[in-house]
Amino acid sequence: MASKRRTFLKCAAALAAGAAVGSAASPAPWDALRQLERREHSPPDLPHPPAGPLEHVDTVSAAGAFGTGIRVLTSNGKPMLVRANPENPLGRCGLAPEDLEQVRALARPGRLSVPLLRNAEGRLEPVAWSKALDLLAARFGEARGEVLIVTPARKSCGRDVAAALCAELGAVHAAMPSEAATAARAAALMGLAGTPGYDLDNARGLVLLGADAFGSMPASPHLRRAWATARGRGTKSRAMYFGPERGASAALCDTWIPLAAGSEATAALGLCWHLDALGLARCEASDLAEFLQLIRTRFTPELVRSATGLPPEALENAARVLAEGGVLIAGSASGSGADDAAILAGLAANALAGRLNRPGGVILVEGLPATPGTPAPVDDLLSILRAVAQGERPAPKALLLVEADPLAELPDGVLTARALSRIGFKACFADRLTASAALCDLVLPAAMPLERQEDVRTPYGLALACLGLARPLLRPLGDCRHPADVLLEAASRLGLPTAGHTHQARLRALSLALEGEGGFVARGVEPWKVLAGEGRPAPEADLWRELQAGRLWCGPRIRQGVHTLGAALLAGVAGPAASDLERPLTLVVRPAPEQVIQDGLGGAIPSVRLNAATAKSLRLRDGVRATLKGHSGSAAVRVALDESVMDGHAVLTPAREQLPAIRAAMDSRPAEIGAARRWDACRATLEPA
Amino acid sequence: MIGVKRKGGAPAGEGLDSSDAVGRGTPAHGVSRVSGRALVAGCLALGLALGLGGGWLAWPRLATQTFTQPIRFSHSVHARQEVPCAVCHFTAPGGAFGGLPPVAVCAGCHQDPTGGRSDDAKEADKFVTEYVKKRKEVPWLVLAAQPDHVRFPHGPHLKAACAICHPDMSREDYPTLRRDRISGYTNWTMSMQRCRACHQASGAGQDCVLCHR
Repeated sequence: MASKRRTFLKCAAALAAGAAVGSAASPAPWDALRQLERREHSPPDLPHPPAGPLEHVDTVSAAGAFGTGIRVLTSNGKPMLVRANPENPLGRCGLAPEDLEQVRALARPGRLSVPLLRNAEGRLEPVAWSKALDLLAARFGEARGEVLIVTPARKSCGRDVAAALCAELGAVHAAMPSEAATAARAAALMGLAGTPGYDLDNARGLVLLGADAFGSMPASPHLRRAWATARGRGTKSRAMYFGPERGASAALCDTWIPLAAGSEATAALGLCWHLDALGLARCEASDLAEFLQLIRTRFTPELVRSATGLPPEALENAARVLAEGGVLIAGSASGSGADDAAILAGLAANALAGRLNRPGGVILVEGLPATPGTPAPVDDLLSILRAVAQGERPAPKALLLVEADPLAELPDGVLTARALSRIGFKACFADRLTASAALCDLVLPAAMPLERQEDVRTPYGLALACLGLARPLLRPLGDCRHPADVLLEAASRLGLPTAGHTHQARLRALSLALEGEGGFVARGVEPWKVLAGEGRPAPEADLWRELQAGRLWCGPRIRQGVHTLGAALLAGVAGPAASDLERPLTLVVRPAPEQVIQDGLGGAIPSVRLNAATAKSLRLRDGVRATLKGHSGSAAVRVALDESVMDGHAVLTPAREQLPAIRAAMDSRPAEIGAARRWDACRATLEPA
Repeated sequence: MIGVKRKGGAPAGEGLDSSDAVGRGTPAHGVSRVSGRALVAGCLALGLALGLGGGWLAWPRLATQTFTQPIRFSHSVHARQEVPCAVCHFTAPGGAFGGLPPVAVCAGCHQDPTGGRSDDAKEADKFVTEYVKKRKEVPWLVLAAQPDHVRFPHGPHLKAACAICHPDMSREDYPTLRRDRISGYTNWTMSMQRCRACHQASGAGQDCVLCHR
């Protein structure tokens, strides 16, 4: 028996060994290993489309700032992939990272799905919507005029609901600061109505003064495509970028001329001097003589060179590009707190060269009809929070953050946190536990794009008014709700008249109002050609149906008007800030897009990029940890040497979760013009950790 | 050492007899031992054959799923009529992939059934009756689908001929689509080595985020 058992075992072992050797000599195990490795390449939360055919739904993306036309591929009604909608002319099939990643974002770990209420122990615990709404209505009813509601910078019908609620409560409504609001303020200072847009489709040249037109600007997906198409047509258009970093915008331009952050206004006015000297000034503004006197005395090439280091020939070339059918865009990276003076000077340069309200130049885009009874929000949230933190203004009794995260988006992080801590009751709408949401007493889960209906309006930088409608394609996860619906329900509990109009009714009213605005649905027509003078298509009979089908309403229009060059205000521009020996670095902070590879060097610690000369002057080496210190706060960073950053500057592209720490080290300062604050060129220092 | 142990460790007579019996063996034991070795060798050979056969023949069939197009469309027939690729596979403004041709494009030529009796004519008639007349899109299978973590915009690649990346469809009449059960890759998924080789040769960018999500 023992012999038979032994023989059997030997045979089995031989069979197994033979099979192993045989299969090892075949491609099977190696192919299996390769396929397993390939499978690991795709992130686990990326939905895998099934083998069968996919259906598609055309809509507009509410995830990014641009409002790109998207084609969502679905399987059994479930979104799988997002592609560009080729029928949407503005995006020209370009997509921003946020647009591409929105399906994955739906299943993001850490997403909120139920309302959370802070308990007696200080921990957030799940609570029913009815209890959350009762609490919200009760606190709003108690505080009334002492409520502060903060909404996103982007205009929408949802924001109008918050504005109407504020108006009826007597509360303060503040919008998050944005470059669009700054540009609209600057235009108003020249006597112009609307927000500047830049018609790159019809332009024959481009001068960027610090503006990140091809990177973080909301309209950048269109501007990139427009410029690439102009190049593809073989036109001899030239693009010049003046700025502190050779980033995405500089990479698409012909020339990069280093210009310190915060010097854009001086450079723009120096460019005006060259326009005047070359006889290229074509402007009939009422204060032209005063403006010319200003630039001839205070912005000569020598003075501008001593202030900014710019060679006169670079500005002269830029002046020629502008005068020969170009457009000038001044500002800074989006969300960087641009100065009103820089944008005002940029608009004045365009106006002086005859490029204002003209195809291929700067065009003032008027806003869409607002819902009656919705006053515009105050746009100086930073000053309000600073005043509360410093005890100069009484703290509101209740705060509601509607998808806004001041701790991650505003500078003076220490003061912002102090202001929030002084507010009695804090509530917020958020899709995840953001830095600001973590401080709130009540956190309400907001539905995400693809789960909610949203109007997406003209992004800043686009030269024509437009409107798209983002459709809900699936039921919100868990107990998530649209903030506008929740606010309307809270208004209903408070007995306010706002509750009478649903969010969808407001959207339909907007589409009805637009039918009388003389616009058209962009279907088979390129709106920028209409802007340049081509025939305007007839308006659609049923705009609501077209919007729901994912099409875009466009209202290209150029209105001429009397304006000034803002000479009296620009006379106060003092030039770049004086050097600060304690904080020798100028910060350029540009948040990284989400869900892309974020930081190659260091996980939780953001990288700060500076060139070797700057690092040497600060006694820092590549890869070392350092402390970024501002006036009131500090943050841990890791040094990365990068010669695409000019001397004396440090560039940060932190991920969203790294932003609050960086914001704590950023200080705002009063703007050159007006009462708003700016933080486009924060001063800081780096010390070895 | 073994010999010393045998001498000292076991009774001499019994040990030697036993050793002889094992060494020379009785006829019955000898047959068993020889057949045992042959059995093991046979098993080894059988295992080897199974392993080789399974790995070379069965694995490719088991590891992949095979799909066929809903309509037996012949690229070579259309290529012989000198229809350029871009007539059907046009791109969107800006060069992005505009998807597979909508049925309206095909209907430009295939409006009515031919009534022919050949296989090709019957297939064309099936297409007309089931899709063109019913205004229904054909659920074409995408052969050259890239994995989800890869972005391939067509715009920057339009200067290259289609067949640089895609198979030469004028020679592939009815290509089959095989999708791997493990990774989901198809037999037409382009390898990264090919992308890199072309990017290196043409001086195009080679950053990870250029193509990968």
